[in-house]
Amino acid sequence: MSTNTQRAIKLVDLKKSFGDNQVLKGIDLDVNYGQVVCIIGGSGSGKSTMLRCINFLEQYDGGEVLVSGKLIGYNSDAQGNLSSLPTRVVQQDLTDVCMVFQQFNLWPHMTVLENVMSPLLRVRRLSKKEACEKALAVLSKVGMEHKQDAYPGQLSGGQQQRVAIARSLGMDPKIMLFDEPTSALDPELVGEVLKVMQSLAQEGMTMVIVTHEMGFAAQVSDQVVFLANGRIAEQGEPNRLFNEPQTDQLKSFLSTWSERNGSML
Amino acid sequence: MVDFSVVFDHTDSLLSGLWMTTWVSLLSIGIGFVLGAILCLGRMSPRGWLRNVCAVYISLLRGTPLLVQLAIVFYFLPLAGIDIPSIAAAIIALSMNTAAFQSEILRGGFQMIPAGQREAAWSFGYSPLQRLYFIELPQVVRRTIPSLVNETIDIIKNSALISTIAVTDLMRIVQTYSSTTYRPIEFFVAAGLLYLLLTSCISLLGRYIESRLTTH
Ligand SMILES: Nc1ncnc2c1ncn2[C@@H]1O[C@H](COP(=O)(O)OP(=O)(O)O)[C@@H](O)[C@H]1O
Ligand SMILES: [Mg+2]
Repeated sequence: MSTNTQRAIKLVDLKKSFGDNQVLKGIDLDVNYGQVVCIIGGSGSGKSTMLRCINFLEQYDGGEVLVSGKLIGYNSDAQGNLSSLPTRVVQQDLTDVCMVFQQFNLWPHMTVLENVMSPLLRVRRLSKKEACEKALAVLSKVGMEHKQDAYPGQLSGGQQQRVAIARSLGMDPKIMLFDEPTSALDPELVGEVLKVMQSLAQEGMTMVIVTHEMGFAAQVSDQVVFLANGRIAEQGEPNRLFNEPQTDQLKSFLSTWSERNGSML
Repeated sequence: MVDFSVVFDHTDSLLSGLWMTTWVSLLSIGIGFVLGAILCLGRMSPRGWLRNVCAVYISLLRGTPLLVQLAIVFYFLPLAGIDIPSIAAAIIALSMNTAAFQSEILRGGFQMIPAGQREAAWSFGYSPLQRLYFIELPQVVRRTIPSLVNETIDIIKNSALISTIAVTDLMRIVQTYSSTTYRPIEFFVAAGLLYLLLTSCISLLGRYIESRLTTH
């Protein structure tokens, strides 16, 4: 195996602008299979944009996004000229990647079970019976099988997020992206979602997590990335990063965080 | 003296007029829904020229009286060498008119769906058609049913105008009898009651469908 194919995700000099506003100014990042990488940083630093470029919800305009060694979104010819790939192909190339959103994004007209079954039926083309079995299996994994007939609007935020995670797990992803999965939750509901994510991490799921939960980040991640102004200002093992921040930016970010949240970890 | 017995002498004709009003209106609503859905998709298309064409069509049909639209379809189609019965002209005009209104209702329904739901569908690999059919349309229909029911009621009431192009709908029959019997009050009150009956049925049906589709 070449080094490229071992990498779950490789970002090379990734750039993205919205109009004149350059949000990502050249990001280089390697994520290996089985690794958990947490992305931290102030609001507006580009965390969501970076994550969204990985599964092409945003079209990046410079650099490369490689998933399992495959360039996402563009085709590069022999001369190195890039051309956009058709949406269908991009979706195909991203089969192994699932995203969990801050706002859950469950489909409100479907029950919990239907939400989880829908992609299995429509995209994976499983039979109804297979889809139902699979859906119940992943729902029980997140402890939500007892709510299979409820509609998302009848659930708490924490329960909705667990269902959203189950919906992703149904697709057997190799890589999961989380964009502030607990930021829309009441504080007492954060724990149940983090617990599910922690068990995924223990099972060896490759995860990239944008989060403000520093305690969680310190506990589960192999690598923490601190983003500031569209650049990686600092990255490393959580212990080192949290206890011996090198840059002023990270120092002030961490001290602001601990002022707001009491003690550090 | 007001005496409704004269109305009951013509029950059969009135009911046949009511039936004409009902099926012409409902057929137009149905055709208008399909056209409206297409217009609505055109209005939200990434292609600028298509968006503009649809927007112009919608403003034209919403900004001019239905009576004018009826007359244009009725008198101009024969001029263009197309000979069609007046009922067909009525259905064409009503459908084209309600399509404009329904497309705006539907567009409002689409805009209520948070972008994140589309992104989720995209990430899971849904094609644009699958997303439309399985994710968006069911929600749009649910959310727009009250407005679509209102539009249906409007079309039923406005369909009285097709009597001007010689369609024997309820209005036309009432006008005929009120002048031959010299009993306008009785016949127009009867017409009003029959329209009310029809629109009330539509309201009830709408509420029933709405209650069946409500998820929480
Ligand atoms: N769709 C968009 N259009 C224009 N600007 C955007 C868009 N999405 C994000 N931005 C801008 O990009 C910057 C970074 O946003 P984001 O990646 O969401 O930051 P974070 O997730 O770290 O809070 C912000 O300044 C934001 O205003
Ligand atoms: Mg964000």
